[in-house]
Amino acid sequence: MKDAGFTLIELLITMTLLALLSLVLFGGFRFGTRAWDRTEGSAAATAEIRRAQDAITETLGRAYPEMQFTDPKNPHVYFDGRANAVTYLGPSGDGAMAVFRLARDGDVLTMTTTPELARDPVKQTRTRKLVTNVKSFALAYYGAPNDLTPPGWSDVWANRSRLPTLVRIRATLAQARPGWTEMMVHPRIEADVACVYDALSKFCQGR
Amino acid sequence: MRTHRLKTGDDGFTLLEVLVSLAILSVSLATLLGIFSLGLSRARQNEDEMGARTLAQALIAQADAVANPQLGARGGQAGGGYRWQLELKPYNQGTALQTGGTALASVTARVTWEESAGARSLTLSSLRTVPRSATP
Repeated sequence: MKDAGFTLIELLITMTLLALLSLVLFGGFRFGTRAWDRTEGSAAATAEIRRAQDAITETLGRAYPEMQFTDPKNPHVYFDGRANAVTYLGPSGDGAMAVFRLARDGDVLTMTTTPELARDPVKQTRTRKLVTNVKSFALAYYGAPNDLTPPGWSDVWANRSRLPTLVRIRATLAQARPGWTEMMVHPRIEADVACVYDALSKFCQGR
Repeated sequence: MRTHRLKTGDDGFTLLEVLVSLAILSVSLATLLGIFSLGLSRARQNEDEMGARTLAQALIAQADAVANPQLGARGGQAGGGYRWQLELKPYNQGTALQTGGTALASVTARVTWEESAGARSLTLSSLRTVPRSATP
């Protein structure tokens, strides 16, 4: 009889088809979720690096060469560059100046910001995590320390009377992609325009 | 004995029908998965473009840092499969912008790289001052 039920053959074919179908479906879903996660992770990491590089270019590119007269024999600009960290004065975004420090803390690249005129520097220091999973971080500086010396690369730029003309920032990250492409930043402000140097007092006039 | 079958067609699916529906399902699934892999390749493109942008910015920063640059083009290879070209040429020659001892030069950094879909490129341009004697 025709409507007495399924034959064994029919049942077997149906079950095989169902098994194949669910295999394809689950395989597809697994691939889909993994692709989704990887896309999301890659986009987030790319955005993180881009934000970090923008923050560095924005502040380091506009670093201000404020003359310091703490040691009257050796007036120098506010810029302390080392191979593993750099401290500089730059625009803080609210119209005022701030002291920025770029350094690696464990596997995190951090940027700390302290308002230049902070009443309580410890309390008013803000730390921002720029990039995570940092394996190495190295800085180098290019420029001429004075007019008589030809420019060159150096690991240290401290107690100098001018800013470096280029700052090179290299980093390697734990993941292969997205990677950190070597950065070069050119601090554009060359002179402390607020300082009219007075040779007699060895200070800026009116400061 | 009477059968309760009214018409043919309500006794389940035929094998052919199941096969057709399976084919439709696999086609739509393939389209869906294609979207995921498109997302992956877009993320990769985004990464490559960010690297190219950083490289182009570094090239322009380097061109800015030299006191007396040579006009002309030069190029080279960089890590990550990037090729770059940096060109300095006179900008708006013979206009009021070229007065006194200084002249303007346009700085163009062009970075090209290969992707599965073909070659891609990114160009950044800037201006800088050069000694007038450097321009022809």
